[in-house]
Formats: sequence, C-alpha cells, structure tokens
Amino acid sequence: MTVFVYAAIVFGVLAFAVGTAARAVQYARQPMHLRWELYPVPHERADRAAHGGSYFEQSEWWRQPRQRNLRGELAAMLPEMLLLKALREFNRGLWYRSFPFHLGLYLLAAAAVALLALAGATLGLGGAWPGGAFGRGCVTAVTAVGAAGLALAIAGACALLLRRIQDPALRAYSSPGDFFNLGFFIVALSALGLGWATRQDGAPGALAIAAGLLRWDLAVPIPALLGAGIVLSALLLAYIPLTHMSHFVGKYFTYHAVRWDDAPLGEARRLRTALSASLAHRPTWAASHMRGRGDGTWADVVATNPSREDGP
Amino acid sequence: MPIVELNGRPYHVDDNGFLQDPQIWNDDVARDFATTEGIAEMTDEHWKLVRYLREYYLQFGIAPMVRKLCKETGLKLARVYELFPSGPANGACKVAGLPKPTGCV
Amino acid sequence: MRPRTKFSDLARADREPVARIDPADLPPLSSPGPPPAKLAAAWPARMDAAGYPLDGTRVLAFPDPATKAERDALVGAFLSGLEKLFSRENNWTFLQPLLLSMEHCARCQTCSDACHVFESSGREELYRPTFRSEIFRRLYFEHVKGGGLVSAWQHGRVEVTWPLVARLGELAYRCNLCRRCAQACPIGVDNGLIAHEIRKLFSQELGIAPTELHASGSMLQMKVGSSTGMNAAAVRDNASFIDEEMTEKTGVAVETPWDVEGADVLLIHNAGEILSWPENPGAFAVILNAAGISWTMSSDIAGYDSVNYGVWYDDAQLARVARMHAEIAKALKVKKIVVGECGHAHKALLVVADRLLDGDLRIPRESALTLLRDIVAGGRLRLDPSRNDFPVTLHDPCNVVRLMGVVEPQREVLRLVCPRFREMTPHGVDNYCCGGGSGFAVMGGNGFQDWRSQVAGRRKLQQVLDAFSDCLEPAVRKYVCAPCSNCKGQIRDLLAFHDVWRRHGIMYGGLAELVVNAMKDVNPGFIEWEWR
Repeated sequence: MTVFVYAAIVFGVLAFAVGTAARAVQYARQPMHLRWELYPVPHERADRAAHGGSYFEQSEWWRQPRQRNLRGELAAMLPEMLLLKALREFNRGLWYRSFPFHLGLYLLAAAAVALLALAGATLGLGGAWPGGAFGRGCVTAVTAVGAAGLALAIAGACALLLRRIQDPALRAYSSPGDFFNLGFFIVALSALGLGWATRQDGAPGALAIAAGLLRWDLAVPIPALLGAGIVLSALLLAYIPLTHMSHFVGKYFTYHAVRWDDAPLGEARRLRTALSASLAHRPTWAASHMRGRGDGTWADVVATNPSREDGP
Repeated sequence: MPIVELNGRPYHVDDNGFLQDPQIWNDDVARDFATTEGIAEMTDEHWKLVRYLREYYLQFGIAPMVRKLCKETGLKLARVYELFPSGPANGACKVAGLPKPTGCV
Repeated sequence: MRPRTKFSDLARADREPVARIDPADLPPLSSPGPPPAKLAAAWPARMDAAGYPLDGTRVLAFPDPATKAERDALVGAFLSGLEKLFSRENNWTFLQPLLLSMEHCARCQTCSDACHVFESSGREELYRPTFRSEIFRRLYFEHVKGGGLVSAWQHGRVEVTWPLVARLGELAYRCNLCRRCAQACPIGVDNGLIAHEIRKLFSQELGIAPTELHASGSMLQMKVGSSTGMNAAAVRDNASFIDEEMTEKTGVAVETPWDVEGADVLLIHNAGEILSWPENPGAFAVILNAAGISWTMSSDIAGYDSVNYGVWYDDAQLARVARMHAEIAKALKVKKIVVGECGHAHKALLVVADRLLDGDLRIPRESALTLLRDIVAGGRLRLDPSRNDFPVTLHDPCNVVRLMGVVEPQREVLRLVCPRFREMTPHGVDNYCCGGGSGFAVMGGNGFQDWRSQVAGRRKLQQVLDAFSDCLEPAVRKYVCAPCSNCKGQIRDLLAFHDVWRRHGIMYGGLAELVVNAMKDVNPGFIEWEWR
C-alpha cells in the first residue's frame, strides 16, 4: 500500500512538471506572430501606462529610446496572479467562488513544499523533528496553511460546481469534462482532508509520510483513506496539464507573448530573422487570390497584386 | 443575384438594390427605380441631379463628392434629401443607375 | 422570452433564421427615437430565398449546394481550411495567439458582459462572444486535434454540416473585433481573434468574404488605387475641388501638394474622407500649411487611400496593401508616413503590419493624432478656443486606442481647443466600439445597416446621449469627435437612423476640423452645422 502512495506522489509531481513544461515549450516554440497587443501594456513608461498609452503617443517614436518598465509589469502581474484581479474586476460573482478555490490551491502548494522542507530537515536532524516551541510552531504553521488550503479549495470547488450547474449560461457551454474536473477536485481533496482528520492516534501524519517518502520507507503505515486521498490528489496533479486547467501556463503567454508584446521589428534581430524564415514558407491556401506568381512562398504571395493579371 | 420587379419590369440588382448593369440604364429605368424612393413623378430637379450623377460617373467611373454634387447642381443637401429620401448615395445614385458607392464613404 | 439559441441550431437544415431580433427585446434607449419599424422594412428582394439564414440579415454570399456531394465538398474545404489555420506554413501570422485562445477557455462567460453586441441585442445567445468561439473550439478539438470519445467528453462536440459551416462564417461577421472581451478575459482568451481567424479561413480557403471588403474593397483598391473606386484622375480632381472650397471658406489659400519627392511627411487619408467628409482632408491641408510642415500626398495606386481591409479578414491582402503603402513612401523618399484619421489604417500599418515590413520598406510610420498634438500643443497655430464654444465629446476608435495605445494625444488637442470637452463613460482603452468596427460601417445590404444601427451601435448611441444628458435640447449644437472614418460613417448612420440630429442637435466629425474651427487666422465658422 505504502509503495503505491509514494509511487503516485512521484508520478503525479513528475507528470505535472513534464506536462506543464511540454505545454510551455509548445507555446514558446510557435512562430513569431503579427502584432496583436491590447492596451494597457504595463511595461510602458509609468505615465503612459497609467492611461493605457503606448510609445506611439510620442512624436517620432522611433527616435525615442524604449524603456521597459519592469516595476509596472510586476505591479500588474502580481495582483493578477495572486488575487485574480481581472476576474474580480469583471466578474465579481465568480470571483467570490474562484478566488477561494485558487487561494486554497496556492496554500496547498505552499504547504506541500514546506512539508517537504520540514521532512528534509527531519532527515538531516537524524530522523526526528525537534519538539520545542520552534519545532512545534513550524508544524502548526504548515498544518494550518494546509488545512486552510484544503478547506478553501474544497469550498471553492463546490461553489464553482454549483454555479456551473445552476447558471444556464454556464451550463450550456460546459462539457461533461468540466463537471468531472471540479468533481475530481472535490473528491480528491475531501479524501485527503478526511483521511488526515480522521486518522487514528499514533498513525503517521503528513510530516511522517513526507519524511517516509524521502527515505522511501515502506514501513510507514499510511491509513487507507489518507492514502487514497494522496493517490487521488497525485493523479489530479498529473491530470491538470492535460486539460484547460493548465491555463496558468497559457496565461503567461497570452499576456507576455500577445497582449503585452509590443516589440517593434526594427529593434530585434530575433524578429527579423523570424520574419525571413516565415516568409520562406509555402502556404497552400486554396482561394485564387492567395496564389503568388513566383515560387509560391509567402514572400511571393505578398508581393503579388491579384487584381492585376500582368502582375506583380 | 436578386431580381426585382419595378413597374412590371424585372431588373437584376445587387444586395442593396442597385442596378447590376449600369450600361442598360435609360430614363425609363430611372423612373422605375424612382418608385423605390417613393417618387411618383420625376421632376426637373430630380432629373438635374440624376443627369449630373450620370455624366460624372461616365467620366470618372464613380459617384461625385456630395459637396460637389450640391455645388454643381445648385441644390442644397437638405433639398437633395427631400428629393431622394435615402440620400444622395443610396437614393439618387440608385435612380441614376450607378453602382453602390464602395469604400469608407 | 425567446428560447435560448443552441449550438445545434446552426446546423438546422431548414431555411428559417436561427434567431430573430425583435426590436421589442432590445434594451431601451434613454431617448427613444422613432419607432424601430425600419428594421422590418427592407428591400423587396430579400435573402430568405437562398442559403441558411442566421438572424434576418446577411453579409456573405454563399453557394447554395443542391446535392449531398456538393455539400460534402464544401464542408471538406472548410475542414481543410481549419487545419491550415493551425499550421505554421499557412498561418504563422496568428498561430500562437490562436492556439492560446483555443486551449484555455474556462467557459466562465466573464467576457459576455464586456460585449456591446451581446448586451445591446437583449443578450441574444447567438451574439455571446463565446458562442462562435465554442463551436469553433469544438471543431478544432475534433478535426484538428484528432477528436475521439475522450476529447468529446472533455471539450464537447458539434456535428459539422454545411448549414453549420455557412452560418458560422456569417456569424464571424457579427463581431466588431473590438476585443473588449479579450481585455476582460481573466486568462487572456481572445474571442475577437477567433472571429478574425474564422473570417480568414473563409476568405483564404473558400474565397468567401463580404463584397464590400474584398471584391469592391481590397481588390478594387489594388486595382484602381482606392476602395472608393477613385482612380488617380478622380482623386486629383476631387482634391483640387476641396482646395478651392477650403480657400473660399477659410480665406486662406489652400493647396494640397501632390507627389513631392523628399517631403518630410507622406500623409495618407482614408479616401472615403475625400468623398464624404472633404472638410477633414481640407482641415489637414490648412493645418499642415499653417504649421509649415513639409508634406505631400501621393497619387500612386493605394497611395491616396490608407484603408487596409485585409486587417479584418485576410492576411495576404493585409500584407499586400501595407507593402504598397511602404513602397510608395520609399519611392517618394519621404521621412515618414502619417496616417490620417482612420482607425483600422492606424492599426494595420503601424501595428499589425509592423512585422511584415523590413529592410528598405521599414519607413517610419506615425499617427496623425500625435502630429496634430505636436502642432497644437507646440504653439504652432494661433488659436481661439472660444470659437469652439459648444459641447464636444470624444469617441475612442478601438483600433487607435485599445489596440494601439494612442489615448492622450487627441485629448490634449481637445483640451486645448474645446473648452466644453467632456468624456464618455467608459472611455479610453475601456471604451465601447461604435458598432461599425471591422468593416461593418462599409457594409449595408440585406438589412445589415439597420442591424448595426439597432444592435451593434446601440451602446455607443446610449453613451453619446449620456455624455450630453445635460444639454439634449436640439437648440444646443453638440459635436461627437470621432477621429476615424469607419467610426464616423457608423456614427452618421446611427444618428440618422435614430433621428438624433433633428431631435437632439448632435453632429459628428473629426478632430482636425475642430482645430481649424479654432484657428484665428481663418474665417470663423469652419464647422458647418448642417446634417451630412
């Protein structure tokens, strides 16, 4: 039994990491696209970013040095990542449900990392976590964060599921998978929470299991429900990158590579090289005006005037 | 392409009801299309506008600027709207057998 | 309450519209105009005879296949185009943003409340920003990503039939591409982009696009020089007429310089201005001459028409026209191109096509709004703002503002020349589209003009009425400044449809006209308060 739990954790974490990385790599490797930004762009100079302006507001913008306002970019990113600012602004009703859910997941992730750190320290200290005020304090803090995370995530997932079922506008657009995804969160995290809360005195808790995992100690007797919760949660973790729930990856690119991508071609060798490479592709679009009169590359197609028979 | 019957005569028109083939235009065609503007009787003022549009079109291949139309015919824009309720582009041009003006006009 | 439109409705084989927009369902305007009977009255030759109608209006002309084999062939062509949208060779131009918008939508519907079309239609499901996206996404997962049971379970599915395909194409033209929804999306998914890509699929693979945008749009522009049909002779004739008119009106000799080699500025207007709003190019000529700018216009093919309709529906057409503009500037050896008051031309030439122009085609390109700001704020004109003593509000063209970040220059000008300038709510990058965006303002057959006056432009009309709520009586003349030809055309149609000039004295026009109206060195009364 224990070996299954350990194996599931390792599998879940690895699958999540590989799946997420694969998605990120897939998006990062897409060709340069035409500009399609959306203002405000927060890395603009602060006085312009305040009203959503761009460098095009300057006279002869191409003569002005371009400054990248990193502080502005971070000031836009952090509230968006941590507080789901856009959702709060544009869909408050959903935010009341979605924010606790996401905050719960953040807390759970933080608790898991802290737990592994404590477990690692335990091994370093010879196998036992020190009692004492500090030692107990650490454990209490991690426990509190984890428990709060679980409670928030489960409550949020329930609220989201309920809304998806009740609101006709959401229901009409939902697939069976959408309901399943939320249900999966509720079941896996509930099992985790219940298993942890109902474990018997003397049964290993989260820290003991984490330390056991690091030692690969198969003798740790993991209670059944808690073990099931861990396995389900690990599978959920592995499942996320396969679905639109990996939108945290997508969001990085929709913001940085589309909405805020205002880099002019002239400044970047990278973009100029990408343009030459793209213009060398041969499109196969079937409409008659899409043909070139030469070698059929994009460079040829865009240099052709389809309204004139004599070309170009 | 849609066919519309005006005064008992069928015409090929575009989606906006403009005469498909400007070549077949004559005074009778103008009278027929005038019914779509609710014009029962083409007056001299109607004809003045229509003839100017027609001449300009034959020279330049498009409809003239509205301002030029007013200046050359001596009719105020408000009067043009009285004569052709859909206005110079959608009303007068249609009666004059011009293709519907294109572009951001 | 009308029944909620479903995805499967688009596949219906009958010839009934999927949704009927009843004017009674539309949100009331604070100033109800004449009864909306116009929406029902239309040209006798209606569309209902052919095709698979969507909502009682139509902008695309589809083939009407009679046999199953013909229908299958069309569906096959659609699916092959769908695949091309996701290939690097065919769609490197937008592949990355498109993929991102395909795979991460959480179907939370946050975008819906940001959409003026959806809201102004009385929340007709068909116009929800995610409606077409969701159908398109399901087709993507099934036909591009391999499909299968798990995929259908995860993403849902829709049956692909010719009626569905045809209606999806038409539905891509019920979105203004204003991308206000993308701004609201917590994940950054872009429904406007999806509509844009569907339009491209139909144009680039099936050769289907609105006549106004393609055959008598970008093709006409590349053939004779302008989507208005003006050739070089016609534009020179019109421009000299404008020069005469402006000279007479302002009391200052106005002459437009043509094809001047080595000028600092090549000014490219939307040619529609020359035909429909000649006072705008006229005002630019007055201002640039008075400010001592070295400038020219070009009579070369496409050199006198900044429009680039390709940015709405076709990447090849976009690239071709952008290159023509750059080639002309190169040949004239000008220092920079300045794009006149035309929003989509701004976005096309300065932003989207930026990554298409390299080498000697990389001519600096700038907005006329910043140039006007430099001239006005730099004190290069003698101004008397009291000549503009009437309420003015500003419409923000999406292409210039939300999609390009030129927000303040036009405001700086207005604050200097219009003492009674007031903002709309919301404004700046949060503003609403006029309802004419993405080419709608130049499209009108089959009741489409009524649709955009009633539905797409409704939110904007309400904003305008609200901005002037303290002075709605017709005796007080008011001015909506819309520095964009497309927006101006739409606002004209909107005000006319709802009879707003007569009832409320609300006129519209560009920015340059307000500047000239305040110039001490020209005769007063440049702006004419006569409906046009």
